[in-house]
Amino acid sequence: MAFFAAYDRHKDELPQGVAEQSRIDALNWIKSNGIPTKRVESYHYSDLRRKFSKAQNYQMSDTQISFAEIKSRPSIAAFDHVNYVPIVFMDGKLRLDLSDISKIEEKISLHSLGAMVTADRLPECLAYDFKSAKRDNAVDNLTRVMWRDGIILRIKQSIASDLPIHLIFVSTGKTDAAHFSRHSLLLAANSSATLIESHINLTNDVSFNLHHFTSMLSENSELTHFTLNSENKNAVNICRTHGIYSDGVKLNSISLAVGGAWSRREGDLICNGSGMDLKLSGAVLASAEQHVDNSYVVHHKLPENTSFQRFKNVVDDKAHAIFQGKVIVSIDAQKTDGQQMAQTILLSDDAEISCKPELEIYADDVECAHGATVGALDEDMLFYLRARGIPLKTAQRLLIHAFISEITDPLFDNLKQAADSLITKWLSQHLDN
Amino acid sequence: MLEIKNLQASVEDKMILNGLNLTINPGEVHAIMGPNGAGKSTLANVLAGQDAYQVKGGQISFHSEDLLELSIEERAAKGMFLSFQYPIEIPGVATMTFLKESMNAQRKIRGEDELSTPNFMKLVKEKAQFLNITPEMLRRPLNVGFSGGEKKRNEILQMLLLEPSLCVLDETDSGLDIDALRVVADGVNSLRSPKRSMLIITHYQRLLDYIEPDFVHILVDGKIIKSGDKTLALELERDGYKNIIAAA
Repeated sequence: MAFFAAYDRHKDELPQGVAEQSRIDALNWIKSNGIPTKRVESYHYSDLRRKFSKAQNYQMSDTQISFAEIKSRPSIAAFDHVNYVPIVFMDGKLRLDLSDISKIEEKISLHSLGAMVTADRLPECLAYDFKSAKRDNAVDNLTRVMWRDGIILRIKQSIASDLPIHLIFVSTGKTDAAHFSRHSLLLAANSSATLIESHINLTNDVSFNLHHFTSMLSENSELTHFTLNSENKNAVNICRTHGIYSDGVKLNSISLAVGGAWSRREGDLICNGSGMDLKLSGAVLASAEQHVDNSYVVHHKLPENTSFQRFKNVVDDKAHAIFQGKVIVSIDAQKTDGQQMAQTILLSDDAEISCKPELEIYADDVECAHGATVGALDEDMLFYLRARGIPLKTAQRLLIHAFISEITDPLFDNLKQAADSLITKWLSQHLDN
Repeated sequence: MLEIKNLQASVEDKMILNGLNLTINPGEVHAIMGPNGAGKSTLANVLAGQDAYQVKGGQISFHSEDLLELSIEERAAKGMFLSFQYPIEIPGVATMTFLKESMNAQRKIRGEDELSTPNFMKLVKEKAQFLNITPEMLRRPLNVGFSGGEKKRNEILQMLLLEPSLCVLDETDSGLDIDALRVVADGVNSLRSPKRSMLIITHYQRLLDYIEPDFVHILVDGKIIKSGDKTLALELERDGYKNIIAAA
């Protein structure tokens, strides 16, 4: 397989040290399990192995670029009114030279995983990531084999919500490269923060990115996490989050997909405590032949946690949107409230949506529900708007924006404005007057 | 202004209008009354251009143009306004946004400049006050959670702002108590002018006590079987549809 050959070619360049054994373990997992095809249930709609044909080049690059150039890209310029703290991760490498955390320096710590491992200075809390625990996931193992770098971000004290940390993932495209990265986010107990995560390309070239995030949220921490995929029409992007959450955690995760050729956001979120409120939501605007997959598993292990997965899709042309949501309720997780909802508007005859909710419940005093709706825009609403003189395309835009904005409404004002402008831009590009 | 000749229309292949003729001149107020299923709402929806209603024959000219050739939004921009029997709820679209979009869209189709935000706000505030519509209502999503009376007042607000040349009121009195009926009627009456015409569709004579028509037509089985002045409505109230139909 090309992947093994690539590993053999590049293994001497990869940071080893404490990571060495975990790379070998992960490689063995891939050797015995393979990269999943659609025959593997959780990848049924997203054949990962076929996508690996796009991963041709595993070279690193050190593209010289200024932050001003990144900031001027339309999808990043949309955040101009947001007073964010930029952390740039480009072509598989943390770029401290393009990042500026001076505003919140005493509240966070930021490190490069590659540099830490090379220097054998891995923080205790991250040792977890390299232990040979049972790991049954392909993205987890693929990134463990091939990672070169990652962001280690530790939030030690609360950061005001109007000062979000902006993780900007950039592919320069100049090397046509595949990048594998492993990131860690740690929120200290009782702290709160807002995180923006943007994925962009600087060119229209092919790019292939695999990101694995370990997200550890400590007792009573609160995270608002807004993710934007605004990559080009040749970009393959796979992000996996392994979440480990403690008592009283509040998570509000909101994603917006307006770009990319083939993307999948997956998560395996473990509730290792009680009194949590997890909101996972996303808006997908897909056209042409885009493939956008949101697949999450929320594992309620202990009592009295609430999780709500809510995704809204607007699918045009021959695009395909996917939502797979799974809630597992362990025997001890009484009083769990787990909800899933997927709503979709199909704008063309060839547009496709696949929805698969799953519930696996072992406790008896729980409330779990799932729902899905699929349809076209409401004819009566369109008629009402047009009867007041609003042209058809404008009426469609108003209704789609209204449909999607339910997802982005909880964001704070300036961030919501940024999300709105990205949605408006998509709508004006796809529904011209 | 409006000339309907031998109009035939169907819904889901069921013929509803069977040769309807009606002429409305500028400044005139016409009322159409009729029993359930006579085709009153079909007429209103055909005029506005609702796709679910198919025109099978006949002509409609509006301001000397072939109305049936115009899109829904073009009809609106040319002055056609349908006050809905059941105004549609649209979650996520704020009432104010909707009002501004519709006013500016019509102005754009007519080749006029867009309204500035301060002018728009001033206009809405003034008209809303007249109809007892609170600023809080205007901030809510369009018609969502509005009571029956609030929805109807919101329809009249749109009518006051858009200043159409032909107001078609489809069962505007349904679901209104006496106080709300008076507010709505005051709104409608404030729009009466020599250039503006109205077509009032109603079951009951009650509304016509508040909005006095010049002509009353009785619609039965998709045809106007009798026309007269406002006394016809009183006659109808007294004798019922059965007797009028038998006599016609």
